[in-house]
Amino acid sequence: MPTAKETAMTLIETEEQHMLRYMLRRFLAETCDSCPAGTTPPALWPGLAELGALTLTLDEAHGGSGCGTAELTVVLSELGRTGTTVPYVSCVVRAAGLIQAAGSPAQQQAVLPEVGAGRLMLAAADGLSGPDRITASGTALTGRARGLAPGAARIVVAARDGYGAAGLYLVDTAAPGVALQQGIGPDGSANDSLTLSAAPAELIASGAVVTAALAEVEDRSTTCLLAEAVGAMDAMLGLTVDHLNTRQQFGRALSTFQVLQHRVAEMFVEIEMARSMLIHAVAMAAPDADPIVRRAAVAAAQLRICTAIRHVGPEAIQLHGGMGMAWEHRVGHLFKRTTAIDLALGGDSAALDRLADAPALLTA
Amino acid sequence: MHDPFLTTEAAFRDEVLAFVRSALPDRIRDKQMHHLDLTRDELTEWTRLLHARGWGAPHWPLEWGGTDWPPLRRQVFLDTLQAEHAPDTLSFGTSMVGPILYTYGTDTQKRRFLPRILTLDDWWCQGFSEPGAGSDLASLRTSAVRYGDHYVVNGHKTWTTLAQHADWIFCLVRTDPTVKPQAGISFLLIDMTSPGITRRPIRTVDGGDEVNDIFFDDVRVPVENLVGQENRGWDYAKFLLGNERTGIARVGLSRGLLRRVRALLQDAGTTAAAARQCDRMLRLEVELRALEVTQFRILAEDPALGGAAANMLKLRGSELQQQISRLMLDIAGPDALYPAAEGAPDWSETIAATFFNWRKVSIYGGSNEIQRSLIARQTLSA
Repeated sequence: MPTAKETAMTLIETEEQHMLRYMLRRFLAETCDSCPAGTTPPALWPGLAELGALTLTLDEAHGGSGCGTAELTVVLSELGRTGTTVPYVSCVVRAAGLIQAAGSPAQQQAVLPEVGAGRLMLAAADGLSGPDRITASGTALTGRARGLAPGAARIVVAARDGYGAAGLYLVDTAAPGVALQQGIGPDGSANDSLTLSAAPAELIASGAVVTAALAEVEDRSTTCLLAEAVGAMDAMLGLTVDHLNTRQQFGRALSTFQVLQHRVAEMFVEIEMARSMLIHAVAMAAPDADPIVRRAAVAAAQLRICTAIRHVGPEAIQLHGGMGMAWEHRVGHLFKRTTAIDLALGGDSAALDRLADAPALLTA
Repeated sequence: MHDPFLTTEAAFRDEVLAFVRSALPDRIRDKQMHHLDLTRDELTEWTRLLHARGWGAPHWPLEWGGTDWPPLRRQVFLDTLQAEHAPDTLSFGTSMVGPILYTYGTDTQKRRFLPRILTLDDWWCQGFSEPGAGSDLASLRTSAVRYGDHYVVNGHKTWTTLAQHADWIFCLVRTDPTVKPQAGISFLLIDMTSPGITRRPIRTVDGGDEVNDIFFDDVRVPVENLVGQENRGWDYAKFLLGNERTGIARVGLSRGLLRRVRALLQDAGTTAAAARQCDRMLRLEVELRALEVTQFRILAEDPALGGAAANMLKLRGSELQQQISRLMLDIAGPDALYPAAEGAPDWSETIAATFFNWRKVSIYGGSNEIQRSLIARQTLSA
């Protein structure tokens, strides 16, 4: 019979999650520590596949371990610490997640094990919201999308049909009418832009199941990106602490100056508040959770974590002095990565919009 | 909506809610909601209602009238009461001198003082700060010189909260001025009716008089009123100050205030100003939730947090309380400026005074500057 404290701790991190975290941390240290700042070692993606990190949330029938959002946030926060950019969220969480939620057994079987093995890059294209729109005429898709996982062989496309109904479609990038343009974001992450011109596609699903799948996957992807940001902020704080303790000026370590001590304290507090809200979002993402409540919890986490990002990043650079401006220093790349995550999510602003319509966070 | 962080305590929380909603007298709740000072009788009335329920001091040992509740249950209890605008029991008794006595006191002291704390028959105040000893408390100079069976105490304590109601004061006094400051301090219990004690009220910026100066002029204190060992008082003080790991964040109080803010803004319509105030409210609600989860992590002993976690709660909890009062003042707007005018709601009459009074929360309990230094010490040594 678990004690109250043990029960409480399972909401924060279970033993299995703890082991997963430290296994990943060791692997990532071996793989990434020696790579220059701002680069991602090519061995990283195959290495993650080999560890089983790409199949965590797949069900056992497709080679996975049936894990949930909590385990994903462990993976993403560890990845976030490294400052590398791999398409984990876009390929595994978003695209594969959509197939898992809405695909037929045959579609799932054709795609998910290959993604899990690291052999298939799967991208997701949102043609429903934002400035990009994709329309379906029968199963021929036309329109544009951005921010796809790079070098994908298949794309899961959300598009509207002639009646305005949302549908999910699977596109082979080798098919006619599919054009992918490579790009690099300001954080160094590769991403593709997609143009579809009457490209043939296979229907995955239409109707209510699509809306539900998109909402669930959206919430999970957001939570994962927020976890990555928390990991990156942890790394920025660690680098800052090391710098303050080592760097000497005026005959003493920077960490002996009270002003800098207080600023580091504020960074620590901001990160812990952010981490607490991540824990909140994960706790409210249980499989039986009310989707409206879950969405509000994710929005609340986004509000707090994006606020923290906008404080911690600039402070980390500032407390490094001139060295924080050097390309060779990891701290700048971590700052760029958290900035990109904040931008991708729409920052605290988008979160406030969602919270304004959400049920009250604090009830009786 | 089910809060998963209640874990095993959801049913208990409902029990507390039912109790406070039926047992807390309306006039006490109203005073709390308007941030008006309670009389001694009013606080005593509520204290005895809790005590009769067995809930007067849940963190005390069973043998002295406490419970065996796990820490999470105690926190749920406190937060639920605060969110329903119930007054806290007098912390100087239940959370400071009480725990000192049952931990370090003699049997005689325990039997004499502990039950009377629970019933508020004895009202205690705290003699710690001095004009020259605030954050640097160890530099205190109020002296206690021993003459056989009694001490003679001379000195000046300040910021003594609610001493106007007090029967007793617990004091940190200097019993050895020749050693390093922390090593020459004793913990003494002093009867407020002792000859030589003078109380002078201090008027604070909000116009209230909750704090006092206390002057000691050759006050005789029986040696039986020494707690623990002479010159070990600083250890006892550290124990006392470290005891309130999570309570000082007052998240329950902030939760109750934010529920009121939400209700006020629901009636405020859809002007641009109301929309901006709503955004501020949403940010504060999220901040409160972050604090609640952090508090929960402390109770679960999350190793990621470290010992400075309580400092973090005090820092952000106090800031949140101040930010809520700032938002409430803005919502009141002109009603706070012209409280006598027709149509101004009751609550807006006192909100400005509350806003000014709550500037103290970032100063007391260890100033926020001290809190940041303590947090930094942990962070930089990681």
